[in-house]
Amino acid sequence: MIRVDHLSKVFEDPSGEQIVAVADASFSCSAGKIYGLLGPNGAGKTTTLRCLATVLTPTGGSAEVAGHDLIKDPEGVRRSIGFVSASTGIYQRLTPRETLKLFAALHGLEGDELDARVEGTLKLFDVVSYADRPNDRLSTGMKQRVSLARAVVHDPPVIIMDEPTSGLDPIVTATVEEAVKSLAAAGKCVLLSTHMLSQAEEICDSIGIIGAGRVLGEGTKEQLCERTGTTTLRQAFFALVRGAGIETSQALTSPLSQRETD
Amino acid sequence: MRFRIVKTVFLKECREMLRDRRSLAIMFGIPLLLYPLMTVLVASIGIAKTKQLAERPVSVAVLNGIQAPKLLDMMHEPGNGIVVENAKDPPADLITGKIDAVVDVPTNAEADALQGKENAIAVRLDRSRTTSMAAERKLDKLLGKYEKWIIEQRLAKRGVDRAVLAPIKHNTEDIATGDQRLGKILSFTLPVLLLVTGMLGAFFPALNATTTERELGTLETLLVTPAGRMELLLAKGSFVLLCGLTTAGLNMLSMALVLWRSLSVIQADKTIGSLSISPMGLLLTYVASVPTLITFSILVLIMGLLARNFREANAIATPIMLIPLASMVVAIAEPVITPGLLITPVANTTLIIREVLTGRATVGPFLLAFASSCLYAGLLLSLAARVFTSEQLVNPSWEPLSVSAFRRGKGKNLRRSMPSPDAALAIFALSLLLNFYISPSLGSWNLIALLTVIELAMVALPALAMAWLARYRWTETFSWRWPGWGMLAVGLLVGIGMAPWAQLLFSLQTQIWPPSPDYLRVTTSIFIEPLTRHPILVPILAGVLAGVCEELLYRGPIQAGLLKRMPVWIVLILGGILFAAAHLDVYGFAVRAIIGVALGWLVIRTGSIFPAMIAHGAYDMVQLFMLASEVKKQGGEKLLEMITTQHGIEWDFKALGIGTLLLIGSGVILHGRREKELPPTSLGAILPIDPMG
Repeated sequence: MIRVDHLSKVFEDPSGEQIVAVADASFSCSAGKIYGLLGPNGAGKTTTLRCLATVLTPTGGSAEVAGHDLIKDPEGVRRSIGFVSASTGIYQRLTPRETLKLFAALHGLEGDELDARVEGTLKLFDVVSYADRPNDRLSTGMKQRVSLARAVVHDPPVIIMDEPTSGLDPIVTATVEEAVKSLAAAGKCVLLSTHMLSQAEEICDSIGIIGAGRVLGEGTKEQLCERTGTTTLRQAFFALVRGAGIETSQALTSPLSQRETD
Repeated sequence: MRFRIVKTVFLKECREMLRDRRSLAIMFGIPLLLYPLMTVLVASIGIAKTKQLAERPVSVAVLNGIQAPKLLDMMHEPGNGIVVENAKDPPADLITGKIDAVVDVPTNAEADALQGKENAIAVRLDRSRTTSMAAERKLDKLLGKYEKWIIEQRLAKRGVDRAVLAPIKHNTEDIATGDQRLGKILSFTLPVLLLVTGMLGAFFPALNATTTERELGTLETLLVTPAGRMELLLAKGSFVLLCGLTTAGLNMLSMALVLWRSLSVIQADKTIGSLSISPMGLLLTYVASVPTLITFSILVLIMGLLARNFREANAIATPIMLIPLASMVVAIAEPVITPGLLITPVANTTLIIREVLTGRATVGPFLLAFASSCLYAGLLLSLAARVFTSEQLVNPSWEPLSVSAFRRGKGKNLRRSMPSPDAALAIFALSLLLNFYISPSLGSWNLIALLTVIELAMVALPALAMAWLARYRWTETFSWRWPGWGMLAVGLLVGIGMAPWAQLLFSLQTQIWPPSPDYLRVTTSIFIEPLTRHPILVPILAGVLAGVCEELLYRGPIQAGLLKRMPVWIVLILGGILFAAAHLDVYGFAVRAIIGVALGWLVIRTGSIFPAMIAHGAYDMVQLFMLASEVKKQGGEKLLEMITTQHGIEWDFKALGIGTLLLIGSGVILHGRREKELPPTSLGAILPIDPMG
């Protein structure tokens, strides 16, 4: 479903200096699985996901999403994905129903099919009771549900989530995690980024540890521990990150961490 | 372009706006409620105040009144609205406002006046008080009456009939129609009202559709849908434009209706005459303002796209909101319409609205103003598209407005680019506007200084600065390549050879479209005095400056930018037109356009800018040397007289023959040069073969 091959992204700042956000990222994720990109701030997670969502154009490498080439067929990629950003990204003056209708229409749904998909998604995410209330009157948890519903209203085979539980309380986080698991169970390919080790361990089928724009290691928790000779994901994470010559303090204060909101 | 997607996003924007009270208040509240309420309020307060002032008697203290008994009698007459006060300290009472005026009568004033001696009665007022106006008016009337009485007494003393004082009556007839009278009043306020309210109406919707979306993260979710960026921009741009146009239209209609309701009051004033509103005039006014409203709507949209947050957008908006106020300055200055003004942003709309409202608009100026405003709107739209398609759009740390963008990088891998067509047109517009606004203020400078400043600062500098700031690839943008001595010789031959033919073309044109003698006198006389004093220096300097600077601009980034998207023949014609238009000389347009095409072709054919520079310089030098020679032979005044009275075609066969030989010579050199020897042209892959065959 998702295949990333030596993807790189280089930005140029106003003074002409080049900043490498993603140096060399390669990983893959299949249908019905949850792949977690785990990395510190400034590791290149958000940039990688934005490249896969076609918001950014990669500088090098290639990627395929649901059989669509990122460079040759960006619109095909966009048709096949549902994207959830770190912010809920929902319109304050629209209601959840209107939000879902808007995104369903932008994905080409019309008439009865559109209505049926919207009503079905509202029910699936338990949003019906407040479906006609303006979004700005919803709680954070409700907004996050609407955001998830919006991302899947067109039934995409691939869901990309950029830190979907960032800033949420444990109860809402658990709700979102359950929703993510149920999406994977429904056969969706879910790619999410997180810097929460426990979340990656809990819900991801496969984990890619990313640092300084490179995928330093990938596999299940057990595979990562075996490869690094450690016993916990936390130890494996630090072993890979330090093994790549990245100090945690350096990762936090690198130029990229100031420029990217990863 | 999928209009279903555009419509979906457009309707989403409309739905959001209809739930935003702030936008609704600006769009509908101000025009529909504020104008009528303000008019009623101002009118009722104004009428009440005027009535109060008219009915209130004026308190006047008379100093030395005994010296003008008749005046005192007149002041005491009932019904003149004046009360004579016995103030103890009149100057102090005037300051404190206890009295409205002090009339100071000199000693023996009336007696001297009756004997015909000169005298002056002083009236002191405090004009910082509103009541002073009524006092002044009533005292003027009274003193006029007193003056008449004095004259009558003098005439009676001399036995002359008072009928000699009967004045010659005159009647003034206003030929303006009611539409034109009201149009004149409206032309001061309507342009600025339309532009300010249009911009204000577009402001909050633009920010909601851009900055707010980015802050909320909704822009990113929109960009990952199958909707294309240009479709999203079209939807958002159309929405912002609709808001701007609606607000401006409602404001105009509301103002017109309020004025129409107030007409009955205004028409009571006989000095103004009848007033009426022309619906067609209002419609044309609105149509004339549409391109500029589009420009402003796109401007606020770009502002919203560039600003990182709502606060920053507001900060940027403040100075930009002042731009429409320029139309008020133009309206007050009432300048004479010129082609230059008709292509000046904002000023052109203001002027054409004035012409429409006063019933004097003609098709030509209307279309010129409309088309130039459309051009500016198109340029801004192109800029908006660039910003919206930038992949940095959703990067929260993107700082497009940071001054650091002007800092020159030291990176080894700086990416350099070529100018685009819109960048080419932007450089042209910049140079044109600089020339138009700054050159008139240098009118008193001598020709050498004037030429130097114009060519260096207003022609070459914009091209070089833009190339430097935008990091254009220097060699390709300016065709900065050594062409070989042969091609330089071609440039020289073409430049000299063109001169007599250009002269003939201009002469032929004058047969069909004779220029006014004033035009000929003005365009020639500016050279006569400098050529008399420096017959060698002026032609050489003018040739070098024009050749180098104008070629740097027109055959540099302008031609390179146009070539990026257009076929060569269109670029040559368009380049020639822009080159001719920049000279702001309507009679010289055709000849200059042809020369521009020839110079553009020379750059493409030789792959270098230098032959065109030499050709341009040589052409200008030949023309000026010929003029200098005539000045020396005939003398300045005689030459001017000859030029302005001369008719018929100038067939200078000797010069034409030499010119033709030189052009043929240049053709032979060019033909003799094998194609493979030609250096790579700025066209690169676009033009693998010689365009002119």
